[in-house]
Amino acid sequence: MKFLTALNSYIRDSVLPMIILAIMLTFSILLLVTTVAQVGYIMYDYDVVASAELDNAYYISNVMSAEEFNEWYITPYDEVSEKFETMRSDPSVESVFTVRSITSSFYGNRQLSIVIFEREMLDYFPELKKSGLNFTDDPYGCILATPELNSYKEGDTLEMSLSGAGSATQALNVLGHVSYPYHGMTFSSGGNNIDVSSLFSESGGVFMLYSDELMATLMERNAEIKYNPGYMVVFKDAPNLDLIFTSDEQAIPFLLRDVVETSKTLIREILTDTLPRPLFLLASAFIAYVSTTVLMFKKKEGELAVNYLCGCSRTKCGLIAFCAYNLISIVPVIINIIVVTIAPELHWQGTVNLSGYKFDSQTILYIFGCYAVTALIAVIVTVGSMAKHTPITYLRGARE
Amino acid sequence: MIKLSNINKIYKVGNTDFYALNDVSLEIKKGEFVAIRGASGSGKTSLLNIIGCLDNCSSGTYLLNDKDVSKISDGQKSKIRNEQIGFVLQDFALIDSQSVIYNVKLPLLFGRGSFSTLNRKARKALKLVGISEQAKKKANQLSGGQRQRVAIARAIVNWPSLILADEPTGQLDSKTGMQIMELLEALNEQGMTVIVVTHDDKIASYASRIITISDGKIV
Repeated sequence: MKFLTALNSYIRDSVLPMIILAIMLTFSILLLVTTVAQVGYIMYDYDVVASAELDNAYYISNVMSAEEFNEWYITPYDEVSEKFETMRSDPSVESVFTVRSITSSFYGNRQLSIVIFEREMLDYFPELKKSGLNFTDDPYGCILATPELNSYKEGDTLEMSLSGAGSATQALNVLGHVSYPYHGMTFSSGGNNIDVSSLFSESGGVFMLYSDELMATLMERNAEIKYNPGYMVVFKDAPNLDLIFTSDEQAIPFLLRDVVETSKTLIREILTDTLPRPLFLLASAFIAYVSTTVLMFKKKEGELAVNYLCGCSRTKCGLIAFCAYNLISIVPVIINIIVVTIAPELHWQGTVNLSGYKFDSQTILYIFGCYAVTALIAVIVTVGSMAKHTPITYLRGARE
Repeated sequence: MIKLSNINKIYKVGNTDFYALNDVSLEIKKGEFVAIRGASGSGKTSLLNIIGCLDNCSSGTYLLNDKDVSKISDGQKSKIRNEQIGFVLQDFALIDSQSVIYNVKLPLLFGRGSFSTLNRKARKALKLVGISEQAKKKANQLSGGQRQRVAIARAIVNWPSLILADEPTGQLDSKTGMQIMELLEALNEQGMTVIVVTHDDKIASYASRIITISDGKIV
């Protein structure tokens, strides 16, 4: 309490510049962490795709008008399945990866979805398993991929209503959870500008593996199963793109290696175009921090000398100054940690849209990194200033 | 109480050594009222700084209450300053932007006592020097005499055994200066050892012993 009283005396004349600097630091750090979160998100997708065998693998995107999309959407499931089976049976094709989803499943009052993909996809993209997509042979096993279902634990049974199946529900066995940011390969993006993130999205529900038994059960219950618009084709040797164009008029094939290259460029662009802005702001904030702390010391040099006269050791005098300077940076750090911690929750509640950002422990590390810089500045300013202007030199100067 | 033996204080001026104190030996007994008199630059403030554990001597031995304080750490010296020594300086050395009571509380803030007793002790000290009604005023709102009384209240709030006063009347008119000296005299009568550094013979006359210093040496 006594220390706080002395600290309060040290800062009381500098509150306004301290607040202004704290605001500046808060926004600078926030801008930096959002950029880092953006890079973190795309890097997660990048690592999954780049780890795969990329030769002869194509992601097939579709460019459709609204009318074409509606037409595609009402295409019977069997008709689309047939198209993919035709592709699979072609001797040039090694694999065709598709993602099916039941788009209008409901859990309580919330809309969730069941995303179903082939087991082979996990072998092709082994990094996917790192996010928690570890399936067993259970055809009704599911991996939860939304924080809304976090109350379910491994081994629990989840009853999900199925769109098109009336009031019937399907019991799914919980195998685990997908880690934050809860996204996986859904192939739900189309268009002619594809990067690794286009292959992913937040499922907003559960992931399951394709099995004949599961599909038979779902179809028996008249569940509305749809294929997601994108898919992947892996050729054995030379790619046979005619096969794709023949069966899919709107198809735009992207060599997966090119998608990775595009993403590399995108990451580079974020790093070279977007990152310099928060770095510049942060550098400015640090310079302002140095100026403010040096000026605060000059302003309060006399007070420290009086404290010294009254029995405050030089170490304690330095500690008062150091703590005062730390108050400027600790507030922005706390605010940013709170923001980063609650941001995913706000996103899932729909309060803010933070798709494409991954706020995690690494983001918090960057915040602590910024704090470490300010703490270092505070130490240097305190030790440097006290070495140059000792209390005794101040008192001697004041008396002469 | 105070025993200085062969104290030297050397400052480097360019490549040459400047002796602010040159082989000073001195003994002051408990309860004495001593004036250290000397011209400007004679070394009296350097001597006071060493006696007050504010500065280190370059060589020699300083015993305070039979304890060698010439080679102790800054932390230990701070404790001694806090508990055993009170300072009254020419320029008052107050925190102008703070209240009178905060200034008086300062030694208590860095001492051992509990936080809850700070205000009570500070008010008591202010009452002793006769300015308790000014407690809430800012230090810079007071006259020179009142400010020096605040400095004295601060010096005695921990009831130290030694009061060091460096030109305590230097910024005061003669009438106020006399009142301050009478206050120091009263504290001495209550058992405190008082050392006043001055160049003014009239001020020095309050002391029971006068030590004259010239060119860093006691003459």
